[in-house]
Amino acid sequence: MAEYKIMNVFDRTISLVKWLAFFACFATTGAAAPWDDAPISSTYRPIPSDPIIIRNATILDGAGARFEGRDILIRDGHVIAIGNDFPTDGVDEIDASGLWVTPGIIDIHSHNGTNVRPRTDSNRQASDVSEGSDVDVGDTWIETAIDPQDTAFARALSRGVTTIQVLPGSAPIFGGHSVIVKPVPASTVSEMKFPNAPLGFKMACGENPKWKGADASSTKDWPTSRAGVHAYMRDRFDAAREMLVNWQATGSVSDDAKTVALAGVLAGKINVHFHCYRAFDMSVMLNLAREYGFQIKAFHHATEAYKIVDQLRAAGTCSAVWSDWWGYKREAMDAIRANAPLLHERGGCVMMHSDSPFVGQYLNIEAAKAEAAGRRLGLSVPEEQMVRWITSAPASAIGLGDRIGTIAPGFAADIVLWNGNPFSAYSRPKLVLIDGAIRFNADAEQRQSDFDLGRTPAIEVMP
Amino acid sequence: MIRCVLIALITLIMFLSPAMGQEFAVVDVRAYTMESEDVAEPIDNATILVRDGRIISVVAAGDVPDGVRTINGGNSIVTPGLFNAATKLGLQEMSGAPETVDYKSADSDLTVGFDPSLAVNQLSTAIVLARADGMTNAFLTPNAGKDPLFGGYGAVIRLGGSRNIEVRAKAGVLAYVSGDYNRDGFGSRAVLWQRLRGELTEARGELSCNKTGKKGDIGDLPLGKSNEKALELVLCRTVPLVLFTDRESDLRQLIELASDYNIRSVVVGGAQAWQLADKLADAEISVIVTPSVNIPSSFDEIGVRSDNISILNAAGVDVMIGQVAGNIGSTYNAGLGLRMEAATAVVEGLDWYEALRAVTVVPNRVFGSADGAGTLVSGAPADFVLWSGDPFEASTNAHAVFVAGHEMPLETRQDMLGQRYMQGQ
Repeated sequence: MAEYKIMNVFDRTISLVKWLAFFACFATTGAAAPWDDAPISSTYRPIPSDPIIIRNATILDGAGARFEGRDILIRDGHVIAIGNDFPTDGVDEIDASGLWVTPGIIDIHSHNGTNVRPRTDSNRQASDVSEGSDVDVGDTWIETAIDPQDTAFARALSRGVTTIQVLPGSAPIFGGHSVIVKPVPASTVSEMKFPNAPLGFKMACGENPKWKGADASSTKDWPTSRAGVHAYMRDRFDAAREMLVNWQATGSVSDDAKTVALAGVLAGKINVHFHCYRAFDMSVMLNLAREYGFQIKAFHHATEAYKIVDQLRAAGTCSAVWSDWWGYKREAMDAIRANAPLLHERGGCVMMHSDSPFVGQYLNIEAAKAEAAGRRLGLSVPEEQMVRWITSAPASAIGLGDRIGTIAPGFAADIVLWNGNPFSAYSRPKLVLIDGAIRFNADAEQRQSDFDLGRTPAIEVMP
Repeated sequence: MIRCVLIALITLIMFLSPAMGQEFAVVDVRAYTMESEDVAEPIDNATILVRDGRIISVVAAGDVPDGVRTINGGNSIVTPGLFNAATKLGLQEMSGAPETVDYKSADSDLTVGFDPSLAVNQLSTAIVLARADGMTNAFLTPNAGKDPLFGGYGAVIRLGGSRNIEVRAKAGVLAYVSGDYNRDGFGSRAVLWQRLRGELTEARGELSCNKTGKKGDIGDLPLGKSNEKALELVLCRTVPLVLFTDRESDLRQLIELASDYNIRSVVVGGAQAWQLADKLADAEISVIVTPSVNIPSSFDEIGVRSDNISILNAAGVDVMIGQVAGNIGSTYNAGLGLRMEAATAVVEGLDWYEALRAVTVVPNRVFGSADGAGTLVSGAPADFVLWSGDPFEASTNAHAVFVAGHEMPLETRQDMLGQRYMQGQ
């Protein structure tokens, strides 16, 4: 048995090398890959804006540096430089003395636009968070379900969030494609969709993806246990690998879009975001990824990541975590608030995520709560490091680490001016810029969503 | 696991030992005694003298009697222990595991008389965590179960004293009126209002509240009688009717009902309460809110706004903070969630001191705690917290928590897990 398994892994490795070699050749030809078939293209355009100098702020650049008394020059939607004595001709100046500046916050795990409130019975019966007809719904694209009028987008923007990854839910094993959006007013998701962003894909392990199979009303042959889920994943990845090899050899593409998506994962062209809580579950999935030669970009929730920091670091896999969620199910019982500082201290890649339209307004405070818990263990993390957990770390994990999440020359000018230390519970954004244009101004009248419009009376007119 | 059980047992034995005869002082702190109704008047360089589980005095640079144990507070802020006005702490260990959930009755014979205090689990790991976050008291709110109208009795808990949790049962009676909660049970909220009025009228029947406003003792009763008894306690103003409701039309109904039946009442949720702030104040109806909720989860909550609490407070309504919706302050984070909610209230316009009152003295008063509870005035229960900074700051930790004059252990199960894995697995 053991011998068979060794051979099997050996064979797999050989074929892996073969198709990798082939893929490397193919990639240079520039033809569209079969998995690159998102149904909606981005029509997002930055709002044109004049050059801006943000003067004299305390700057946390998102990459680990802190600057005092410097200015930021923004032009054509990008950061041009951090420095002093920039020419001021034709430039709007913002005096940020006493204010703090960070990159725009990136929420790597949201269901905004699909888990839309207020909910109704029909939402409960047929939720848009994920497709429920199969445990492999890898052919779905959550961008087809986004309601841009979800108030949660504007709320997130007002709390400094400038990029959001909307993921499908964790009930299926293969949940489908994510979409990365900017929380700007829009009537269609294409107007919010981040241009030319890498593809993301949701998978799930642990308690959730076995529920569907174990449901008494289910008549399908879906897995009912962790072991069954793992075997199912292997089965599907075997099919995807076969398709990939065929495609490389003959150019023929499977007509099963679910298999095509997984082939994209195996080709390393789709970022995998993996819902997992427990250390042993994550370890099993890291092994699976190694076996099939793909990388898991980030475990989401990862409440026990602190138990396997070395394994995660070796795999280059990040952990997207909350500060303080724990007591709602068995696999969350060993969650600790100090997860993030502990991972950080030991060289792991970590970031905060929301999974909730309410937490999605407090990602800076998520970081602060986690850091406070770290200090109970003697770990202290300075602000310029903490800010990475909500900016450059999630930017990298969604494949945009060279475009957003850091204030540096060439990066998009997604910038938040805070009225105080961004990790204080009393601080709020004063201005939020996306691509150099002011998208939120705390002192201006706020645009109501279509849903809110005309529904709530002003205080002073109530009889 | 064995270690956890041992710690739990040792902790328990520690609490069971009497607090009598103990005297100690905490010196060099900035103490908020909550004596003032409207102005923050902290006492700097305060000496807090405690004896037999009660506050003896809080005096600036006060002398410590000879031989009395002294704890140096290092200029910490001291407040009374915090009070979460709506939680299920002790009635739920894991929401996803029904085996550990005890906050509702599925028995159609036991509705408004359901008493969840009999189920409080003082070994719940959520309790140590809440206390380590500076929370010492809470009001427990049973959910509507089989009966969509009634939740049963609310209870006040204290996270210490003679046990790990002291329970004061039957401190309120919970009812629910909304458009979407358990909707199959009734069809229209009007049915709930008719039922509530009908049941109160029936219970009022031959009722005569005695001179102290109470009728007899609360004993063991057959289930049907228990239901009747609960409504009698409301009608005799012994306890408030605590109504989970959000919509303006329902808040108006409550104002009328409270007046018609001359009962005390408290609103939980109150998403649209800001539209009726003056009327609620006139009716002396207090409101428990969750300030971070600024997105309506149901149509009843349309118009929910984070400054609801400051609008109500400005109109003279007694406001408190609980975890009613959203998920920032769920039961498992009853303490930290409460503090973050208070911070949001302050950002949204509530005076900082009013926010502190909303999580200390006000709920203790509304839910009939002992005299002085939620304050540090002479004779008050010695339930207080030494903070590393502003209690509502995310970066603040509780340095020390005292309940009934005992310094409580602050090491949580999470701390133990963190320490175990700090140096690698």
